[in-house]
Amino acid sequence: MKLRLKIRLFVLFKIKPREGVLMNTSMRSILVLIIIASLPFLFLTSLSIGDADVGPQQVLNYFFGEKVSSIDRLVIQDIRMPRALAALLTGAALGISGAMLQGMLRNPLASPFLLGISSGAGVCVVILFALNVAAFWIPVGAWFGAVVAAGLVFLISYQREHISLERLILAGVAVSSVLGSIQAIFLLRSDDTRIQNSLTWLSGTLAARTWDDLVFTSIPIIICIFASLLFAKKLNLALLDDDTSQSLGLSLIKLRLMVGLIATILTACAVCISGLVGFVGLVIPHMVRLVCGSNFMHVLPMSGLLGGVVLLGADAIARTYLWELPVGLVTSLIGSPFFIYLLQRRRLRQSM
Amino acid sequence: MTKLNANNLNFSIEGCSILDNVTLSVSSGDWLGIAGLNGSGKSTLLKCMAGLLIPSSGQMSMDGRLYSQVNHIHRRLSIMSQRTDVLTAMSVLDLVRLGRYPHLPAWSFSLSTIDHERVEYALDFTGLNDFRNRQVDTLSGGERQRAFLALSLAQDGSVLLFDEPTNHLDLVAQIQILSLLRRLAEQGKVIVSVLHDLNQISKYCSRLALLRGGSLVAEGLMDQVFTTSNLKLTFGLDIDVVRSHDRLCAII
Repeated sequence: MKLRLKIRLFVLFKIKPREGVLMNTSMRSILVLIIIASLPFLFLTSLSIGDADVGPQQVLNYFFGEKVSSIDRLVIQDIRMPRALAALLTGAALGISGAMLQGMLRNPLASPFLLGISSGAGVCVVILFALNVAAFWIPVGAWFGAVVAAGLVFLISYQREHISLERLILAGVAVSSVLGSIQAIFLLRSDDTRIQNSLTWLSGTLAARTWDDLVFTSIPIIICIFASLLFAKKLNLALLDDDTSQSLGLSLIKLRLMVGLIATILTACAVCISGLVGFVGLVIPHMVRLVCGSNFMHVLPMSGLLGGVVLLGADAIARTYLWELPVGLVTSLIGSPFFIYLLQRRRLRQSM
Repeated sequence: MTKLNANNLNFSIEGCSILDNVTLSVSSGDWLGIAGLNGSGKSTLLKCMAGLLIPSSGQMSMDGRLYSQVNHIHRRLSIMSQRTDVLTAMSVLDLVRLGRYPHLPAWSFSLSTIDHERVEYALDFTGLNDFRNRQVDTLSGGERQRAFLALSLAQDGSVLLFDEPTNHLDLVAQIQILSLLRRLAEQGKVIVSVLHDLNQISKYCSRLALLRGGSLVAEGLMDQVFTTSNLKLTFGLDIDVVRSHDRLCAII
């Protein structure tokens, strides 16, 4: 009965039956173009927003080489520009490492923070805040903590020349939980201002970034973005089961180590710049797959692009409130409802 | 002409022996069926033959050369495992294209004309031409199995290994897959498959290897191996073997 109704509807309205294709090609390319076009737009918007009275007019003047007062130039060039670039780089790094890890771990819930990176960075930063060291050491400590924690997770999961995905994920959860409790102990022992500083960092913030924050992190991020593209083909194979992908010539251990390394460096650098910005690395690759399909040749660059665009937009929103919100809270606030929508949508598809 | 040899294969894991001195050979045009109870080492043997598992002792060789010395072994040998699922939504065409991976130069990003031709041939052969833009996770069990067969075909090897290719399929889909494999054997490919249905084995395979507890009960041409006594040794059941319409049938 149901089937007959469906058939009649198809005939009546000439609806082509859904063939499981998520989106047709022209719609896809339009969406991709919109994302690409929104980048310069958001970048200029981001440069035009802030406490100082420097608006779009001055920003356009600055870019087209017309006369700008030296204070306006300072605001645009040394205050807002590094911040916008920091948002772009962080978003791109988190988006790409999230996409790589979801593919490598074969787990749609994987995020850059799954392998202990966030808790490793978090515990180091909280300790450094508690010890009241100079601000210069905060990103250094974050990088160090992130890399050590991820290394530890890989070391635990390595067994007989083999890294199993289950062990990797479980080791990540275990290491995160140990480091998380150490972090909580230090937070509880700190005084109020330090707790506030720590919490802001842990939520992810782009406030008061300068060129100095970008010098050491931008180069590894850019190198890793290009390196990630070299693994796109291999990540496509990893979508298959272990036996089939190996019989096609894929070395699983090499792939897991290299993807782990690249994703760790990307995430550690992102964390260095902006603290723990949540949800970008988890949700962006899902959004990209909805638009471009599952081919990593497209997913990786688009995840980088969309990650940068979204963080740029989120940071602009974070700055338009009376007091400044940490950007990580904005991404989570927008990201979580979207994730729920994704889950609902998947349930719909399964029931069809 | 391709010939695959297994010499005294032993495989053990943590002191537990799974394969015990298995020796067999299979060459172009042969279809070797592997049968035995669950846990008798069928899948392990198949994985050793695919080069996915390194035997504890003994060697696998292709045309007289050890697997480790064969150039581009991934271009010559493919395995279709029991698990035919993919992580994310992927079109049939994209899936089959993955089969060309071993033929691509290390850092190339696109397929050549030959690659496209092989992909088209594989889709054609498996009758999936109209399904090329369908997502793999929306296919029926039989269509999905054919899509993975097309992936193996696109790999263009002379040896194709299958772990229970008819698992979870309805009768028609089972016959479809088995007929495709027979055509491949007739084209001169080496086919090795783990199968459970004795009557399908006797109808389609040309050679048979029976495993019990990791060692061979018998191995050789179908007529010689498919006997009541061998089946009794393998399965512990009394199975009559009768000849009807020029083929062997097992009556259980």
